[in-house]
Amino acid sequence: MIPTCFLLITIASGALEAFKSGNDLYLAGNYQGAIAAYESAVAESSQTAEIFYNMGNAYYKLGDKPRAILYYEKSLSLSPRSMDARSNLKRAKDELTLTDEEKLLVSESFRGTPVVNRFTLDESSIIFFWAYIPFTLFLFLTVSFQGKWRQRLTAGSVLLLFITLILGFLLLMRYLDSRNKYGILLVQRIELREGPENTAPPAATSFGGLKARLSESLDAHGETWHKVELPNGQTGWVKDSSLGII
Amino acid sequence: MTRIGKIVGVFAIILICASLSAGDEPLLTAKVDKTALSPDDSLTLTVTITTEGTSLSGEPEIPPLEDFEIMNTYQSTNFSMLPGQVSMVRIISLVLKPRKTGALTIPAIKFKFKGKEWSTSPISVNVSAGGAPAAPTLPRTTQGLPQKGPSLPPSENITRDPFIEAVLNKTTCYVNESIIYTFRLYSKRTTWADTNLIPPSFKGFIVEEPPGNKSSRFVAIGDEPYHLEEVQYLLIPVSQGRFEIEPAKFSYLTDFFFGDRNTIKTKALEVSVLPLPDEAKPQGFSGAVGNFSATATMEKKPARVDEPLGLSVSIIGDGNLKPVAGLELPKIANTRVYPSKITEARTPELNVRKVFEYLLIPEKEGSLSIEPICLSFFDPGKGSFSRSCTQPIAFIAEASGKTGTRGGVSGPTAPDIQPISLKMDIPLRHPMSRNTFLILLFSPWILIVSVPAFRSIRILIDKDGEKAQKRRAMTEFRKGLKALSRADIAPKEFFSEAHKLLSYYMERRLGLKAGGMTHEELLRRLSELGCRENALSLLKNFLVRSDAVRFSTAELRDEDRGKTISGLLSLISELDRLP
Repeated sequence: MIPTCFLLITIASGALEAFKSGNDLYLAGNYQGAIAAYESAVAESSQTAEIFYNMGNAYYKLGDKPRAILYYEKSLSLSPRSMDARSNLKRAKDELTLTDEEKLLVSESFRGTPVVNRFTLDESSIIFFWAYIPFTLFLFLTVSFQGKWRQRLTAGSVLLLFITLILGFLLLMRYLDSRNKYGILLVQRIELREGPENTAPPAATSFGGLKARLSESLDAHGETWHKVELPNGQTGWVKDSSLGII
Repeated sequence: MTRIGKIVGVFAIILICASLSAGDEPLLTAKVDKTALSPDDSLTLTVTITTEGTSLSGEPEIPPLEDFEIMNTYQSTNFSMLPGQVSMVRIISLVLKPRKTGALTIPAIKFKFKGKEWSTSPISVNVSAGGAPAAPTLPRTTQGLPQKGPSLPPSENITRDPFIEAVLNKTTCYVNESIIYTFRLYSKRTTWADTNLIPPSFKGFIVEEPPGNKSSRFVAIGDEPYHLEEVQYLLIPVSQGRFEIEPAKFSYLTDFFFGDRNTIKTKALEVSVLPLPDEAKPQGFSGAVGNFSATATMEKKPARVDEPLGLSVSIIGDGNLKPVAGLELPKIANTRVYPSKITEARTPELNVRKVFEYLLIPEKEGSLSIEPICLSFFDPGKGSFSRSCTQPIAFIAEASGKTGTRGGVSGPTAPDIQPISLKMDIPLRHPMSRNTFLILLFSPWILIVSVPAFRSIRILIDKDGEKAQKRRAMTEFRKGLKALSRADIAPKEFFSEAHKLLSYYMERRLGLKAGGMTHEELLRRLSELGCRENALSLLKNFLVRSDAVRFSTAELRDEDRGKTISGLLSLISELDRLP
């Protein structure tokens, strides 16, 4: 345990230095340099919502909105209630040069289950854990007591069971959602292919900044290809370089 | 380590270090061991080429020596390494015999290095039949000698080779003032084996070794060229008082292979450190001691609202700026100021330069100004406090360059995105693993299922408790009966105790309260419980006999007591079979 903590602290200090250096460069207007510094912080095995958020800002400043969206999404996956990240994500999405139909597609793409998507899987699990503890306690007391108290405790247990079941269902939803992998299309205009190769016929046309669900990944012809599903249900293959995985 | 091992080690270190350094201007010397000799005598002409580093290529051009016959030639190449300094020395020695008498001349010797040419002066030699001895000729060196050197060391040192000295640029200074301690090694040759410089401990001082504090050059002392190695330390006294700096030591091998180790040392030095005066100390005194000047420069780009602009404040001078942790920036209206970076460096001249960088973000359009930024310091030259300020800076902040453009149509000025996060929370644990998550997800259901299980176990435990109680009743009865058989008591008491034991047993084992029943009732209940006839008969006999003894004066013989006990044991065995 102690060596693990030590390792984490050691990693943390290196990442913190890189993070601060990235911030200095960002504030000085050197956004490329800031991105490089943030990437080195990520390479220090320290992936935090703040680093991804700042990377999103740096890409935004460079005008690379799809990558900005990717990093805001990454930040939100670690800190879903970050208002700044949500605000900047919305801003970046709004500033994509798209048709009204495409904008609608972007704004509604894979938003996850409402309420549940405001919590990380860890947070959801902890909430659920603390909810079932009183329920279990009530249940034990119900078994142990007799008479009038038993009736009261049974009523309490039923109520808590109801709450626990709802939370359990939401947790399960969150878990199932977390099993899905998503990515952001990074190329301004992109053709999805029917197969994992450049010569495969086009399956659909899409655009940078759109969130897509990954269903399959494989290495073909020396390149990594991902099969994605677009919010409108269309599927196709894209190259790894054209997709940023959240 | 053996001597050979040491030598090999020294060479290895020399070669490694040598490979890292680059060559410099060479020193070319030519000298003769005697300038007056007889026709039968010979002289040695020694040509030495010394370069810093290792890039010594080419050979010196020795012109035809028509007046001399070359008897022999020796050549050698050596490395010399002082701490941080590598030299390469090529020595060519010619043993010359004059062909004639009179004033002979050894012509100038030339050497080409890195496209430049160096040459020595011609050397005159007097060859006479008498062969009068003469004082050795001073080496004549025309290239590579420095124009300026340190003040000459005391003359008593000149006779020794090598010799060292340590000097301070000041012997009286103030607390926090930086002074320079210089160690110098003078030697006629550059080749010393296995050298070791042990500087003083500098107690009472903070010691800095500024970059480039080691240097070497050639200096002329009298007519002799000396190779001078110099090491400088910057000393900062931390408290007032009188301090002694103990001697620095330098040790070396007198010869590469078979020389002895020799150690020489400098004189001890004394420094008086004065306190900074308390009077007239300015408010916000930074602690800097020296003589400094402050300059401020703005980043050369248009200032715009909500866009960062760099401001650098440089403090440059001679002294110690270590205590200055930051500058007091005057309030800049309508501008957010963020301290960005502080860097401190020493120049080769040991001046200090500390740069404080700030990021300014104008909040409003219009003219903005930065008032002079000042640093208070103590000037030891004047012996008083002083202050250096930057020039005021004025600039105009323009409207933000960002406009909300969509589809090529200019729109109104859009607010900037939310600023970056300046703080980061490092997660001290990894995210929950899938297995942990699944355990957490299913653990409540496991607990819920465990409640009925808990209940069943409890019932089971209760049942076990009944059994245990029955077993305990049997054990206690047997123990009691055994004690009774050994006790020397009257028959009445014997039967009374035996009766109690039986009643206790029946209550615990069978739940029958024998004390409140008649004999008939008891026998009937036992019969209902399935008790066999022989057991009932035994019980009946015991009860009758017990009553007889307890309520009459009949005597009880020992064999009767034994029979009663064995009868009771048989009875209990029978009763224990009952459910």
